[in-house]
Amino acid sequence: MSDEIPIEVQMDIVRRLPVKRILQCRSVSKSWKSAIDTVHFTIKSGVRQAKYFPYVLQYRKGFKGYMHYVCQNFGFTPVPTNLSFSDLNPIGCSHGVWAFSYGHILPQYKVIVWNPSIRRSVGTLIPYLTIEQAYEKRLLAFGVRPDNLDPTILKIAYPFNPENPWCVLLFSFNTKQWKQLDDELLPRQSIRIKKSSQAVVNGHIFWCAYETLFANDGSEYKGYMMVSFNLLTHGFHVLGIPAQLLAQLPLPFYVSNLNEKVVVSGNLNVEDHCVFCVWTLEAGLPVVLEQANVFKKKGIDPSTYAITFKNEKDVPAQGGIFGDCGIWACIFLYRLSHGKALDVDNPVQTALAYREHMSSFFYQHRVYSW
Amino acid sequence: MSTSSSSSKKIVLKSADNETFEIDEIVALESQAIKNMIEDECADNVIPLGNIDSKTLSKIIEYCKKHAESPKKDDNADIDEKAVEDLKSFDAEFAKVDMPLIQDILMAANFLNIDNLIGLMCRTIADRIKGKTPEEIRKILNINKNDLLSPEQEAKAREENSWAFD
Repeated sequence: MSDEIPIEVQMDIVRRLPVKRILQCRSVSKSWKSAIDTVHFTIKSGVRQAKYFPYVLQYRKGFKGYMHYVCQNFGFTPVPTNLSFSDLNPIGCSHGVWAFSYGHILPQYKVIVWNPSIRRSVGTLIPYLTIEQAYEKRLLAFGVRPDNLDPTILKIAYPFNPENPWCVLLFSFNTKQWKQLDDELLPRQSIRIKKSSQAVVNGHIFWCAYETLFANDGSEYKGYMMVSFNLLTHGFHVLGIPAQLLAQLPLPFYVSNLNEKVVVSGNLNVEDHCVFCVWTLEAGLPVVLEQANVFKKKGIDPSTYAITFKNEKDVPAQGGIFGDCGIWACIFLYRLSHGKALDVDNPVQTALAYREHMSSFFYQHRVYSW
Repeated sequence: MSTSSSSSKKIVLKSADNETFEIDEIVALESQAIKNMIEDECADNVIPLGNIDSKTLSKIIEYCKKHAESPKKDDNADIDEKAVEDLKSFDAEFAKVDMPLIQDILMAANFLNIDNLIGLMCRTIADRIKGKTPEEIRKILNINKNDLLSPEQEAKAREENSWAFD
């Protein structure tokens, strides 16, 4: 193959081949192997399919499962498979790959990971150690690591003794090993995750979670929150729910994802009617700042953080070697060149929002190894 | 085929072996690279293409002529079914050439930035290497010997299998 044909164009050829053939092409040449092995290639060829065909799993009569994919006009097409969904408990879905648990706790408790687009599945046994009899409840979670597409399984166990931390085991298919996470990665041990739903968005698994608290009169109540798990750093984070939303959200809520955003939902019984309430959460900058530990270092309470992004629209995402010098020069130049008014609602917020828009840009393009 | 009107603007392309081709501007605009040159007014009367030989260039012009004449998909909603079929069979005929020329055309189409033609050539190559072993693929595409994996690396590559996404 001529050197004058850029490798991206050569990969455009490879991408048109059936999946098995692509794997074989890894041994054609060094340059093909390294190009096919990049995440860029996998994402360009793999995720597309999952994105275009959202899958739904329904259970009828309480146990009989049906898997369909949904096309653009909301038509359902059954997914061909010989998996029996009635034996499987869904854990979650990420990057178009599904995870189920299967079998009895001992001795054959397994996680099955299934990729419907290529109709293949693989399983691993979930370890149960006698030492874990000290643990009361367990929950499984699943997510695909965004940088190397490594399917990751979490087994979270809560101790009987509320003073003890969680015990979290992590399995990744690339390492094929279970390892226990260090205590410093875990959230407060008093937190409990609702196992009914999980969502994987932007490299994080999200859950609804709660903590039992005591009111002034000594009565118990549950404080709700979201907990996220970073599939790259393996750290857990507690995300407060804005008071405004918490006042309206039916509890406990469910999490799911839509267009790479976290969605919370719940059923509300209003007199004779059952109302299904849905909110989309913008995984905006506060999440990014929190995950980069900016809030902690600056002593800011994320739930009352005031900067919004309504003012950073229509500003250029300038950056690179010039840094973000001259915020106002950028904003004004852009607005002038696009025939927009120069006055903004709130100049301070606009400048801050623009700065953070930039830091978000840099955060998104950060190198994962730091 | 419609004859090109004499009043339309002409562009001259010069191949690596100094052969010149006079074509209608509308045909040249199929190439995004030439289009940009014309729009930026940095195209002289003669555009030299120092890395494309006359054999390849004449094939590319043949392709661009046909595609420039055919109604564009986004022009109007009810495109002539027959025209689409006609273009398809033209593309199929066009791709019936030997592998070195296909690679030359692909290289040139990439240089001239002609999206449809890049796609057509990639599809053609993919069809020809489909179902072939790595060894056969290397032969078909004339892969550079320096780029080959060592026997150990090749054995390892065969063994590895990113299981869920394969």
